[in-house]
Amino acid sequence: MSSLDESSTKILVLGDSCVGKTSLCHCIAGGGEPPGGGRSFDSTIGATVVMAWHEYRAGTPEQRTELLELWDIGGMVAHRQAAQVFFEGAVGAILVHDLTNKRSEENLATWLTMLDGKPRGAAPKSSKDPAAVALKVDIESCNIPVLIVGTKADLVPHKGPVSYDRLHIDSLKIILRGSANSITLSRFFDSCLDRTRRTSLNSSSSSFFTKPRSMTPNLPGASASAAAAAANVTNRTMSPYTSVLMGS
Amino acid sequence: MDGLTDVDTKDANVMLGSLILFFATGWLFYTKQLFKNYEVHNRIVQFIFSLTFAFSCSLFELIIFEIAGVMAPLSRSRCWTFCLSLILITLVVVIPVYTSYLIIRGIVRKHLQLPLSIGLWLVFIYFFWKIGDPFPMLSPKHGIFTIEQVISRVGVVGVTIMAILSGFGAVNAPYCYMTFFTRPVEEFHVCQLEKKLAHTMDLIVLKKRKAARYELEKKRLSGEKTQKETTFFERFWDSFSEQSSGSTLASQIDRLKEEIIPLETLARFLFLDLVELRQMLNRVEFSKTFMGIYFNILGHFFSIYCIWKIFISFINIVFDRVGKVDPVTKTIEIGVHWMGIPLDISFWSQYISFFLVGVIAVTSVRGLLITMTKFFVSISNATSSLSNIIALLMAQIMGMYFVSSVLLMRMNVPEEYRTILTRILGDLKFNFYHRWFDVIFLISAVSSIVFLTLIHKSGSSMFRA
Repeated sequence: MSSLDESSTKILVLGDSCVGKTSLCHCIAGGGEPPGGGRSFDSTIGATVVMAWHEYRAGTPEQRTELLELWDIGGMVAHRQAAQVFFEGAVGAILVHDLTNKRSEENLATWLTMLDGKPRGAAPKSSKDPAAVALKVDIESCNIPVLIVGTKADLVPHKGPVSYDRLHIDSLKIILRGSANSITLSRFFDSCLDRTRRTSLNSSSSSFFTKPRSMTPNLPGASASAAAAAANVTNRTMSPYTSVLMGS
Repeated sequence: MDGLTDVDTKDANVMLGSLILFFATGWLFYTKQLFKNYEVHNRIVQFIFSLTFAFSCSLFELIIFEIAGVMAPLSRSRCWTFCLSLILITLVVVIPVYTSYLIIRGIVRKHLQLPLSIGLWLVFIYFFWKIGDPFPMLSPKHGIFTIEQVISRVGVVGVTIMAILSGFGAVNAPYCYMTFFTRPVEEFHVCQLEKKLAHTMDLIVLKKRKAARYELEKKRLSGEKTQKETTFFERFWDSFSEQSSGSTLASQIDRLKEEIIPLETLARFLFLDLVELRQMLNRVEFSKTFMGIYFNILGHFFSIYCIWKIFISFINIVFDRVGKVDPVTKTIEIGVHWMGIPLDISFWSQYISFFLVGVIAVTSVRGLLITMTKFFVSISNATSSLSNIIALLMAQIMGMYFVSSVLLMRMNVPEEYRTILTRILGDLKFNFYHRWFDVIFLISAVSSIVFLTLIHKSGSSMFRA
């Protein structure tokens, strides 16, 4: 059953420069290779939008085909402050790091701070303990669903099995249906869509004006508090694994 | 005899200790500054870089020792020969060989790698030798593989690089620091541009949405079509009807894709403008702080210095004048003769020139390292082979820069130390190097002024809007 709704859901893809965000977006959208053939290594300037289809709640009676906008935002350091103009209205974020480069994983905390403005910081810089690095990137405290993806998995074949809330992806291969990666990805997208679907499910019974619970960017200065008060930003995170009761 | 060897070992220990210290500094700099966003995979490059840095810094250290009179003269001259030959070997042999090996390694199979990299190095040596031909820099009575020959060529390249960097730096510093060149940018300019960009992105998303839905529809239709058994006439009729009607799905998708491309280009340009506006806004805000005011005043001094330097280079070239007296002695002479300050020239000139050489050494090392960091961090990415090659090139440039700054230092020290430097560095025609520096400095400064004026003018149309 295809959705007749003309809107699509905005999901950000963030990470350092050259971790493979553009390749990841094309991989999720379902193509093995990006259009234009071959692998080009040009850095993304600004933002590129890639459309991806997703089966919302596949396998249940409420299954729907939804359209997602993946906003692939260039990660160059000089562009970082200006890139916050793209954060407006996003309902989910994918943080991408490079499995061959440990610093890119540590820098994810910076991106997370840019998303919601909570300073995360000074964990001991030299801690090589993966648990300590993982603690610094605490996605549970963020108010929109966040997924962490490690790319270039084909270059580190010795890595062990990955924890349940992260993905290790080789962006040059298609994500097979039914693989663990595709299940985690589907859960993440479902949780993002739930945050918009919830309001439209409630709207039929309650109010006329609905505002999807989305992001406002971390604006500097006094406008931040005003914007945060005006938007319906809820601090209750939805982990991708809580099952949503039907009708609630 | 025993006393002499004691002094010898003590001097050798001092030299070794300082070498190790500089090596550790270079190693740390490589990890913490150059590669602060990535991991270091290739330790050999790091080793070579730190080695070059250590030898270059020890050259400066030896000059300071010469002036201050530390260490016995015999061990000093031995250290000079040691350091000079080692750094020249590094610059001419080690770095080019390893660079050509890295370049070749990505292209050829294992068998051919070693001979091809040696071959590439020989080509490099040939061109390196050929640099010496058009310049009259060496008295012709020297052999081929002596230090003088190699230093003369290294000196040419290094002096060129130094002059280009100084020229650009002298013009760029006042441009960056002075508030005269900042534009009146306010928050609402930024908001306006952000709105424009958001609007463009909305248009792009709209068109992409439509294109995605059409593609889904098309896939569904073609899926249905292949399920039916089509006869020849049905297929013929279908293709004919698709060509005649202009609004089929495929043509609509193509038309949407064509419309999206210029919109994406526009979005990129708007984004780059936004980045530049924000940088200018940051600069305006910074100039209102205390640090900003300090830098503004500093910029005024820099502009005066820059204009004076350009003027002096011009005079030097036109009148073919070589300064006979170094600035330190000249200043002290002016102080004594014209202003009547009672100073002992020879006594004070030693200390002040020692101080001056130290300041020049430290600032040039620091300036070069900062420039390298900025350049390297901005253009490096995780493609490790390229960043390794760039790191090696930087080590090469750094080595040549320091060797030639030792060459040019001669002009800044009093007469008796000049003879020492002349004796150490061999019988080079030093005046040629100073003249060459002036020429390249003038060219670089003038072209930087032209370049910056063009950038300033082209940016002003955006800012005036």
